[in-house]
Amino acid sequence: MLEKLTHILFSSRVLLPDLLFGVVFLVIVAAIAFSQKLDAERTYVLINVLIISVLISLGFVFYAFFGFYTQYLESGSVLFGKLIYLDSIGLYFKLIISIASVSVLIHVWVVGYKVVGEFYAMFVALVWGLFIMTMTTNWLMLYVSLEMVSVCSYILVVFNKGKDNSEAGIKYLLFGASSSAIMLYGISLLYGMTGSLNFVGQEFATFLGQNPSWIVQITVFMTIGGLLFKLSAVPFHSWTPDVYEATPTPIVAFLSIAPKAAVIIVLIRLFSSLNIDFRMILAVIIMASIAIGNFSALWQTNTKRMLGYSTIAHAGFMLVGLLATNTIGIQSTIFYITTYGFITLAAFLLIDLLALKTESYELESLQGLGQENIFLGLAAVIIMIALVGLPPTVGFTGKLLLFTSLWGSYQTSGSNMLLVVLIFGLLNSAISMFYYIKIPYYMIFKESKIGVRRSQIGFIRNGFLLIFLFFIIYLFFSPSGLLNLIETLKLV
Amino acid sequence: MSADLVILINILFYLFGFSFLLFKRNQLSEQSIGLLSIFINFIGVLFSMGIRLSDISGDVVSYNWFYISDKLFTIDILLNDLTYLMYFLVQFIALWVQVFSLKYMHGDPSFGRYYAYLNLFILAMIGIIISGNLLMIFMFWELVGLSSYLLIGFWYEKKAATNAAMTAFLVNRIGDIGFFIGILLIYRYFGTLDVTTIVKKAQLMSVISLNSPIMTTIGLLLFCGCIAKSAQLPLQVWLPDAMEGPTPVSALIHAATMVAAGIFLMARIEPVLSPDTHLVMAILGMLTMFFGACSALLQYDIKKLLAFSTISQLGLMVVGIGVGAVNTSLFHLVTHAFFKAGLFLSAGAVIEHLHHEQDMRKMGNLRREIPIIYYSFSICAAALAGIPFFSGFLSKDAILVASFEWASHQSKQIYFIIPTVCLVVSGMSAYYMMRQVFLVFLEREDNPLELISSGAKSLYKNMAKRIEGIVNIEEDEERQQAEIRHSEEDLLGFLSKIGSMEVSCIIMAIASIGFVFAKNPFLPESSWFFNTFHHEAKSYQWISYIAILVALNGVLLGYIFTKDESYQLNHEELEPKGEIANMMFKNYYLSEIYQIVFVRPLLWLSPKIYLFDRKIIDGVVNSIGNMTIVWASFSHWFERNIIDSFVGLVANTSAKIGSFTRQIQNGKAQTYIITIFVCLVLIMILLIVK
Repeated sequence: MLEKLTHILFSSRVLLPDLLFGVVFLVIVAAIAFSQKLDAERTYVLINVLIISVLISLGFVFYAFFGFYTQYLESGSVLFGKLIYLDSIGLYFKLIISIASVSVLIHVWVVGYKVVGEFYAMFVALVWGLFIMTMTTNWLMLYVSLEMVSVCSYILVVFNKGKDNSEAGIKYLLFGASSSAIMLYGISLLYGMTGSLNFVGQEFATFLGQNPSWIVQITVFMTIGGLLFKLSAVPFHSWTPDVYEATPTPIVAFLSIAPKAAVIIVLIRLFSSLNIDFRMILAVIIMASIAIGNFSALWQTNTKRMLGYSTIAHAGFMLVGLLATNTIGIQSTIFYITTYGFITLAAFLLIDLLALKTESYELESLQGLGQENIFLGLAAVIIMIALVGLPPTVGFTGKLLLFTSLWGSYQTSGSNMLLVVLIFGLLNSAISMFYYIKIPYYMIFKESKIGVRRSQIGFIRNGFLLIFLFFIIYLFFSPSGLLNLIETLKLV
Repeated sequence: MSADLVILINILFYLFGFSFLLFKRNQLSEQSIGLLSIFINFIGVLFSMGIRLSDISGDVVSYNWFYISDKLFTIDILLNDLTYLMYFLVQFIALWVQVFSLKYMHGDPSFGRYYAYLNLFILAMIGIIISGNLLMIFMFWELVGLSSYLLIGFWYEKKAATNAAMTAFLVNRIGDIGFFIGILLIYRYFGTLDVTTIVKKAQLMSVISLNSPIMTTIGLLLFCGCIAKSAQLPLQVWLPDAMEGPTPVSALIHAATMVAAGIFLMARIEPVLSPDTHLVMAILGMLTMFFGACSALLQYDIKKLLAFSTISQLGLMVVGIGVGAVNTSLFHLVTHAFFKAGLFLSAGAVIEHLHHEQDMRKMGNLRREIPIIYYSFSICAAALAGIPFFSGFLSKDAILVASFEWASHQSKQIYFIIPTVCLVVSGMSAYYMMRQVFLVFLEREDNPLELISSGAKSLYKNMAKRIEGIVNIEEDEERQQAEIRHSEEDLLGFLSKIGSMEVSCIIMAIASIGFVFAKNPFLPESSWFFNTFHHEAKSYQWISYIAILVALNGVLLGYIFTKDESYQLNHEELEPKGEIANMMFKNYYLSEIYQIVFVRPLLWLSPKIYLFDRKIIDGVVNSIGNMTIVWASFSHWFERNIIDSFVGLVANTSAKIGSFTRQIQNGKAQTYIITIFVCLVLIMILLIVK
């Protein structure tokens, strides 16, 4: 008893930076609750305070881990009776999520969205849920954190209180609930088979191996359904276009990277501990995601909806590294998701800046915008070819690494399925060109029909976009720093 | 600060002056332009004096520049006595030329451009002086060529000026080609371009290996550069033409910057030159000196006469190097720089005074109108003529003695022809300088002997009066005071005439006086110059007395003949009478000969080449172009019908697939959820069937 208590106390101490999120959440909620009738100026002050508190809590996590918890990270430590695992790979994903959060907060600020205080409370809770997801290996803990992320996401999606938002939110909720149900059913089956909730444990793998392969595969597929829902991979993708079209852009930008990063780390943990052959299903998911994402995007006329489909396709690409089932595959997946973070945040920022000028997300409205503002035209070219995966952008490097690892895996295993996925992925990269290039094409080559637009973008917004552009180009020319960092990461 | 740093900063100053004045030439006023440029130059002079004091001689400072494979090319700054001397000399003369130009160029619409070019010119010349390797020397050498081109053609509205600039540039290019080949050969032979290393290696060579054909070739090719830049015999045509530029520029070109570069280069690399090269130089220098002096005898243009005299003096310097007395040549370079600058500046003042009249036949009697210019011109002319007590005598005498000494060491008596010609030419120079002074300044009836005696008489009278006044101090105090007042007024009147032009001329005249250079104005060896640059005449010192005699005779003859000539002057006549005289006047028709031998055939040939180019080469190019077009139209067809239809097929197929996949997305939540379960079942079936 005393031993367990000591363990809990020790765990709480080590996890203190993450627990701070809870405190911040409570403080924010309390602050909002007691400040409902503030005038505009005080609301402004309050919101700034909220932003700063979110930033501080994010900063504190990294300060703590780099400052005085390094000894727990190096070998990895097990907290709260194997509920929480602390390791460097988890911390790296926390870093990706934090970058996305900070950039989204800046996005909200520079574009000038009017948000109420609850936004920050939900946002903190969402980030906290994601942080827990990166650390857990316990099905129950995973489910709780996933639900935490989901619930916060549902609320954020309907935040605008418009008709479209409500519709998208309801669809999102229904779909998410179904996915969770399937996942929970899968988890219960797995628990029944193994009698263990910790999926990296030795007993879990042993007991699982005693069952017929196809049953295990179906069960695992059902279990990761909730994760695939967050990743918006086929067949759990249907919510994506509707939600992306209706939701405020910064939230979409966040949903397009942060939950996916958290899901990828969970999948990496899961697949590196399970010794079942899951490649068949994974290959089907990948090909279906890439195909449906790319082909449907061809027809879209709304840029946000188009980017929604594009994220489905990219979810497929993210899974390619896991299909390779080797260390290089995992590393290239991590590299891909890091760089995809920069690209997707930049893409959503770009279409938001364009919408500031055109007041519309329709492709038609972009006509002649690149001739008017050459910086935005160039930015559109760079970001879109990065999404396609062409040099000289980091999108090319990421895809190159992924397909190289897949090729390596094909060389060693000789499985034709991998070759099919490889060729299919490459062909689809070419097809994706058709719709990505539409944005710069409309901006630069089409003549504007309505004359010069008045509104200016402004220095801060352009500068913020320029930071992303810098990383997109710079990481292409010297990716070695990031790659070296990724090579040092270790699983527990 | 170390000396190399000072020099680099100084060069940067000139670069700044050049670019700043060029960009701001239309915004700034004349005063500010002149002030800025002169200030930069003044700082340069101060720097050059400061460096002399810091006194770290024989030092090469190297900076790495670039690699060609593993061969390192460096930026070398060579700091020795020669560098210090020339560094000071160039900037000092340039300073006074700039001061002079303030008034001379006053009111010129391109005042700023003029000063910008001057800065570039000084920069280029300093670059040659400090460079420690031949590559850098060559680069600055070309820069000197460029800036002389810009300045000679400064008044580009005048056809003659642009032609003269073109001539100067093209003629210099011919010499530069030889120089450049020489540099390449040196690199081939010595494996380095570093001047000090080359000189050291050459000094270690035996006489036989030094006299090998390759060394002679190298020497002659390097001398080519000197021939063009320092206006030696076949290529001297550009220098008289260059008189089309502004007169202060002529002063700069003739005194310190451009023509000095050739002599300076030869002096830098003198140990590399083989004995045969030396001989060629001596002979060519002698011929240049003689023919230049002959041409100078008959000129009517005040500047052209000076130009030919420069050619003649440069010939003398080349003879000095040719006979192995490098330091005497350098000494003559220094003295010549001062008095020739003085002569040109004074001539500029005369031209300014006469509203741009340059024909000497229309001048005369200027002694009373511009006395200051008269005195400074006369002093400089006396220096050029080689009259004792003036600087020219010292340096000329040193070269003469050295050349006699050299001739006496040669195997054949015929070599004495070179020193003899030098002697004759020094007489001729005395003649033409006297002629010029007479035609420009003296009254036609004036008798210089009377002038001197009357001057002496008035001086004596004045002194006598003074003494009388001191003796009879009580008697006529009033008269004395009136006299003092009178002389004070005289002095004030005299001083009030001194402007920027006069100051420059006076400074140059003072620098041409023998006492500036040597304690004993009859003995060149006593000068401070030879303390630093060692030279000793062992025999033939008596030659100097003959030289004095020859010079004085030249002056006398010049006076007598010019007096005769002045009674028969015909202003309308453009050329002197007589075939030979005409030939000398026209610079031996060299320009005309070049025109016939080189330019005409080229002009004849170029339309033919043009036609060839047009018909044959263009024809080939056009047919290739046509073939490309045919090929392009084929590939266009291929692209259109085969590749495009393939792409179109892909696009259509993709679009069709897309419109199918899109149909799943019908916006109904129940369909979405059903999709999941359908997929689940499908995957189950897939796994079970497998």
